[in-house]
Amino acid sequence: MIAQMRHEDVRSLLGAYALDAVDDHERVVVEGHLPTCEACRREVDDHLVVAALLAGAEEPAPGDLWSRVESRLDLGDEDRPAPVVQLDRFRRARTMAVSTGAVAAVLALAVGLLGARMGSLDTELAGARDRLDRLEASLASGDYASLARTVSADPSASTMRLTGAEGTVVTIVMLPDGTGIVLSSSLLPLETDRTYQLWAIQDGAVISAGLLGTDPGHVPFHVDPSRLDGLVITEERAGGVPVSDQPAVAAWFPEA
Amino acid sequence: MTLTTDRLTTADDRELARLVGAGRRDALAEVFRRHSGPVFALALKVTRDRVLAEEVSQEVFVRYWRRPGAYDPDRGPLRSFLLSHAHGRSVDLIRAEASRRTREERDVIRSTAGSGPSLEEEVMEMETATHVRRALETLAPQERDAIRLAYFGGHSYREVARLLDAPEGTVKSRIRSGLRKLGTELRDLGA
Repeated sequence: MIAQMRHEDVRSLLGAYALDAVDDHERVVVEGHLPTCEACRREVDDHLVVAALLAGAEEPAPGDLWSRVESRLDLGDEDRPAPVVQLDRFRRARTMAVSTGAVAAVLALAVGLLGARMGSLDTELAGARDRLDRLEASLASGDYASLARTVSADPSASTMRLTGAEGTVVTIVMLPDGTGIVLSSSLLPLETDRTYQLWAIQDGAVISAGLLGTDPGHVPFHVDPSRLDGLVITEERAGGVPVSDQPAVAAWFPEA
Repeated sequence: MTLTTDRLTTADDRELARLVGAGRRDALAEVFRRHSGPVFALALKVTRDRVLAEEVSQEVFVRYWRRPGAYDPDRGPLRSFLLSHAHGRSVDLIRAEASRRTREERDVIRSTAGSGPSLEEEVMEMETATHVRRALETLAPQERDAIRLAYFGGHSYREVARLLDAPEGTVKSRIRSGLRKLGTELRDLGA
């Protein structure tokens, strides 16, 4: 269980990680840890240099390989031919990428879940109805700043700080039903052909929880909170990817 | 300052990386000239398939061109960066392939895990082979086997544990301690 993995447990994986000899679950754990630990980062870097020396044999590349590489340099990502084999470092059970058009669906789900809670918890009825009204108003207006205020003011909400290298911090607030929203981010803005993407780790699977855009503001998402083992942000090409092989730029894991 | 193609051949990798980041295709061509041999060799060694190795090699350089910022010169040599990508992609491919193999095929592979070239033989062709061979002598045989199966065999440490009939934690430790010893020895030898 990721939440219970200690620093020493992660360190013990670093050699195998550098040789691509860990499973996907462990890879996510290590990549979530590396941005926050310079000592482990240095150790992995050292292992990669050693591995490169082991690999150092030369085999002349086929004569036309450069021309084949060159022919692909001008292709945009959308035009790029599908790879021969899908690179699936981050395997996941399902994908729920949240584009602008899908935000309504996500919030509708949140509203539905909140409504369900209202039905079963009479004592929370008044507060929940109030939250529901404000969530619906935010949904109708597309005012995600207001939504962020509503969620963060909820006493049942919890705050998560995703951290990365060089002091990167992304703060997320989440309701018990799994409705979350980005409150603030120190991520550097990206070029327009790139995007940040949020991933939820659930039962060892890595699931897309939505696109955060080039400069994350108040972006809503939804995850299953009962199965949440961590949150990771990666940088991807615009439009996002179903499966990522990028390192984490910020990550959060529950306290053990 | 603009480097001519002639000057590119004498530029160090850090400078080439800077130029690739600035969109200089001739700089990428020079990176390819310098490092495509080891990239292709590693991909071939891991995948044991020339077509897959060619695909991996293309992917490594195209990807580097599209994401030059992914390489941080302060974290290690450019060759290490390119080789780690080549290795990761090769392992992805052979694991996808392995999942399609029949159990009988896997059993054959398992039964021959202890044979095949040694780690010393795997690195025999390299320029710094002398240094690396000397460093490898400092490892316990179990450490060498674990690294060989994981790195050149593309096996996870759990698979290596099964292949060597050793506890998973022990194999994990052998890989890490072996790499650390190699790093220390190679630094001392100036490799």
